[in-house]
Amino acid sequence: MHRVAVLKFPGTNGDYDVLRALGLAGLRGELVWHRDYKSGLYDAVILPGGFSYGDYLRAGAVAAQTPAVEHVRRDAERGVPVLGICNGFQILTEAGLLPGALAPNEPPGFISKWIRVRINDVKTPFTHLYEPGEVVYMPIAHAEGRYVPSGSYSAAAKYVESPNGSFDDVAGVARSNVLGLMPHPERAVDRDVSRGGTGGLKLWLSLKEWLKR
Amino acid sequence: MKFAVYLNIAYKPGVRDPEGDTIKRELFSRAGLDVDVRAGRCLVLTLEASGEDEAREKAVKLAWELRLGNPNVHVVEVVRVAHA
Repeated sequence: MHRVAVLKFPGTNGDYDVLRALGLAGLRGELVWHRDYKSGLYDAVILPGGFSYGDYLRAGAVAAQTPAVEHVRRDAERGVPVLGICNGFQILTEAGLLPGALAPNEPPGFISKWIRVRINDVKTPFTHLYEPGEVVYMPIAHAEGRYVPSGSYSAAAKYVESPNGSFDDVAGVARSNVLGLMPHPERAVDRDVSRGGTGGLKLWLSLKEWLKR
Repeated sequence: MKFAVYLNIAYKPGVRDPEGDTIKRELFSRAGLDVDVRAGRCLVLTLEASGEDEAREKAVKLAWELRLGNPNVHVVEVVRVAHA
């Protein structure tokens, strides 16, 4: 059985949604407290959404400096698939594992809604089962999701209609085996509870297939 | 000696600042005032140094080392140095 870590910081709140989504895809996630996370133990790692360290300083800025993220960096360099969702994406940009930054929404404020997202990069461990350009529904819930690029970047996913002023409508960025997404694929996996459908399910199935390789 | 170094961490001039824009629009413009506003975050670092210049240098170095600002989008400015 593959080991998929679901990394938890104080303030992370998307962890159980991720564990459930992994389970629906046939994977078993392991909830790992950040102090216990060590590189070299896991086949994939997910940084869920939430408000790590209360968003003190800046969303993701404190978690990005923890030893756990240093271990995630080592795993990423070894080719371990790494996914940051929402606050997880913010942590990955703050840590420099992904380029650019996630700045406050324009117009400002917290947005929580279902939205259409186009999957552009279907070469990542988390997106290879999607069709290139496939449009899916996923929910967003964030106040700092306006992508500001820095140098070159790969827009793995884009909003069909940008809700937050993100540069070039960027909703997700990939660098090799590392993916960051502002939309929440873990909340779009189950027809019974996801009113917007199951557009996120293929992401988890993609990871499952990838790990079999 | 201990010094208190007041740092302002703000978006670079070219990066849009929705918080500053909102304060400008809803408070200043509403009051009929033509005043530009940029928002920032103030952190006061109290640290040991031999003088004000060293305190200032130490604080800025620490700010970037610990990524108090994200170099892609932020500036870190020393607003004030005072004896603590």
